[in-house]
Amino acid sequence: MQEKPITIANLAWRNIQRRPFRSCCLIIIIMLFSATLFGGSVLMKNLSLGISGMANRLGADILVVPYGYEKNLEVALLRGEPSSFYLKADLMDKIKVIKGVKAVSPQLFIASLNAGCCTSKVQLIGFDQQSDFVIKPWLQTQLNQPLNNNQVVVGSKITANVGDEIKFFNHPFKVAAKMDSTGMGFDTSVFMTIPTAQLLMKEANLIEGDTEHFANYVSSIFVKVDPDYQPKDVVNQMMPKYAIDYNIDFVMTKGMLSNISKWLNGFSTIVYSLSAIFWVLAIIVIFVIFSSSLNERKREISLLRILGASRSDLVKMLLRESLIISALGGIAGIVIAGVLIYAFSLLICQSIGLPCMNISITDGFIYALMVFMLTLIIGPLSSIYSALSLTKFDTYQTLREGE
Amino acid sequence: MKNRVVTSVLFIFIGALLILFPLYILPVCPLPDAQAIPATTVAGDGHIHMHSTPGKIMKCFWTARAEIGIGSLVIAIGALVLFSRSLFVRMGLSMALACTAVLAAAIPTILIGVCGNEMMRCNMDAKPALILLAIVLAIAAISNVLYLNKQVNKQIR
Repeated sequence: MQEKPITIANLAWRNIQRRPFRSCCLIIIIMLFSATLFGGSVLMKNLSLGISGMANRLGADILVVPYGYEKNLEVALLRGEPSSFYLKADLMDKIKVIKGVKAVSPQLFIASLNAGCCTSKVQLIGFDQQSDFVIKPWLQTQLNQPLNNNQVVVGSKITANVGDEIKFFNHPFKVAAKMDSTGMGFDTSVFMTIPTAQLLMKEANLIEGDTEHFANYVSSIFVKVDPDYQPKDVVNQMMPKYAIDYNIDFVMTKGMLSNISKWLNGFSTIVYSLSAIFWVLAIIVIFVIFSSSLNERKREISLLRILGASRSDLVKMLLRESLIISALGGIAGIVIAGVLIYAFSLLICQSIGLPCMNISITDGFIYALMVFMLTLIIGPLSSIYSALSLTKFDTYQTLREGE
Repeated sequence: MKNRVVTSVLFIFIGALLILFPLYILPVCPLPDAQAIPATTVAGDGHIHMHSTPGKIMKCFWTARAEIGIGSLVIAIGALVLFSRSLFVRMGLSMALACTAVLAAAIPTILIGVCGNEMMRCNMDAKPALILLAIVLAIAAISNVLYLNKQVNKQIR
């Protein structure tokens, strides 16, 4: 078999292969940087997409809930964790007449059982079809006719398609429509009309106490404010009138979302700080390793000079070596982070407890390219000093050293 | 010797992970409580029921069981790699491991599967973890086959 001719390009590659442990360590350091930056950036983009999607399509400015249940509603909206809480429905008529209120729509929450094997969290929600402005914008296909007592609308992560039959508490329902992916709790919720929800609760003995007047209760009231008014002003009107009488509290969706944005800012600071630390660390480590191997490689470089390699050839060889290490580390980090985020995206979102949507392939590719470019800089930047100083010594003296 | 130890340790490690992941690290759904009424989606006879019968064992349980068997097999082959001096035997064992990796990935996807609902923990955690482990095992086994093949060619020359 014919041996490959010695060129500067394959010499650089052979140098990397000749010291596998050193090369692997350098690649791992660079990989840590690219994986942190790429993984963190994609995750942040997924979360911000989820939050902006939620903000754009939630529709309601104020959510009215029984006092002490604000967190339950947030958790139900963001993660779909089932919970039940009730307030008097006649409050709706009173809210409607408040100045600045554009629309009002009630929802009735039923927490489905979630014990035992393979439990999936399913929140059953009753909504008012006439006044609804929260559910309809998310529907994949518009409903041709109003839902009847045996029909439901399912979230995107419920394993049922339009036309399928689905059973809750032994009551069969037909799936009339499916929602788009919202990235929030609606994905694991099932929607039905409020009378159907009330009937189901009665049939399944889910209510205790004042069962005769249960029709007079809802879980929360979604309020849309006129664009000319501030949600805060509307709340200020409602608060003194009804907060004590009805024992209610208010959740401002903007406030809820701004809290999430604040958290996201903190998270992005951590990710970028960590990436910056890894970036600087990679540069320092490569600089130290290349500089320390300077003495070890003096004879090798001198021999190459005697064989006819010019100084610029040697600089090119060293820079190429560091460039290959950077490229390998960059690609490995991006691939590993990409695969892990893609495989465990649902788990990550669920653990963080925030709505998230998957980034588009184009955006992902752009992020990967940007991180790769930043990674490529590391090698040449950290080895340029060593490469230049390596060519300054006297070839003859170096070869005679130790004789 | 170096190759034998490194690859053997790697294969045994992956085999152990194949057992540990669906059981402890990212476990499949827990066994049903006899008193509980599971709120789940079960596709069968064309109907979907959100509440299955009490005590029903789900598919992911059997997937975890099958992966215990496959993990044990990977550990056993990994140990055999350590004790095999012949390059050809190690190549054969690595090829067997590559095929086992395909089986390890097929169990949670095609052969047995996991629970139907996307939000169930077996679907979110255990399934992707098992597929990734199977891919890592396949890459390690195929790389070892290529490396050993190169060594064999060197020896022949």
